[in-house]
Amino acid sequence: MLMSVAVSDTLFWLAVALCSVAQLFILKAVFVPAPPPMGGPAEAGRAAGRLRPASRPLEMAWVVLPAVGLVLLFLWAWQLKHPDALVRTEGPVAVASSGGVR
Amino acid sequence: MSAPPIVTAPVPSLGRDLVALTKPRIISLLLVTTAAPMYAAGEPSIWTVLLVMLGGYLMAGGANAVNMYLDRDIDDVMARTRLRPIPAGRMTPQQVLAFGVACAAAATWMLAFFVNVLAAGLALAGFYFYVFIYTRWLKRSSPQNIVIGGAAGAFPPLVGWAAVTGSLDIVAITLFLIVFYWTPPHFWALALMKQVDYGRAGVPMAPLVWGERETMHQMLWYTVILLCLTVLPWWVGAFGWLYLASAIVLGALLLGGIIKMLLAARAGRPWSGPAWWVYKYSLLYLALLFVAMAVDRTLAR
Repeated sequence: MLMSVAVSDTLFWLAVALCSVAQLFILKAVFVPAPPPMGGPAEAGRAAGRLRPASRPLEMAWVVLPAVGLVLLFLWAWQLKHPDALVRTEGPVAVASSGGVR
Repeated sequence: MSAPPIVTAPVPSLGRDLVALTKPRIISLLLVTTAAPMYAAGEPSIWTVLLVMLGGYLMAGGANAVNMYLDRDIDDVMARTRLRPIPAGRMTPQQVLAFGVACAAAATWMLAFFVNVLAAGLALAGFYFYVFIYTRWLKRSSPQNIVIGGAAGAFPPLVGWAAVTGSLDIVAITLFLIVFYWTPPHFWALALMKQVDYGRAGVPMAPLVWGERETMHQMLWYTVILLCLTVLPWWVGAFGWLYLASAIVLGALLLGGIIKMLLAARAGRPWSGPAWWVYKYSLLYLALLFVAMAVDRTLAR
């Protein structure tokens, strides 16, 4: 079964859009955190001094890292399907993409 | 008069404890995510598959044993882990550490000597990531412990792929990210139900830091990305329609389970039933998804 390039590309961009929205909500939870829940099971850990707040810059780094990986993966996939998309001819050296899946 | 039924607890033995240190139930899923990519990547001999399985078991088992050594203080606090060999007093911490390191060393030698150096290096990287990045660093310091630590569990597909092809490509990296994005919804479903244990032990799991509702929302977002990622190998032409259909159906069920749990929580209804379902189904989901990859490629050849 074959699928037209236009439909296939639309599916790709739909996936990119869905991932972007989801990733934004993931980032928001760390960059704009809600107040921690009071009481409940967390309280036992806090009372014992075991549950400590995490380092904010590190938290941000940990949540940004996978997002960057995701962007790179989608770029790689797009480049594989559309090798001409990243060919640059305006500079002194033309950079052609390579690759292809098995 | 009939005699009362006799209930016998399993008799502790060194052999049983050594097996318990490796966490065989967890490893069984790791082995599926190692073996299936091997058949998706090519046509490995049965000996290669068996060697990679054995090496993978030893490496993951070694990591789990070292994890039990490092976590021995909190294992005694949590009901779920109190009966492990160290907190139960059946093995000393030094014995457990030696066993874990020996397993990892044997696995590295076996994979490097009989399979290839890349597969051995990747397996060893997974070991170090699990022991040092997850257990030693993140587990007790960050609610992102499961997210970043999940990378350790995502190494097996890379090992399987590298064992057959001797290299890594976009499909292998996508499989890595599939397991990576699968891990948070899977473990947070468990964390939602074991909050008391984690709170007592001081492990900052997401439900304790963000609250139950936000954790469920995060499970939803990670699952959305997961589902998109599972389509990517088909999109680049690595897998066919059988895989795509499996990925969509299996993913829709997982997403449905998470939405059901979230709706129950929002309506103030009990959500632990749907959470258990998500936890258990997510195990089946990952196994079936990877089996679908192998079957798809095998039928296409």
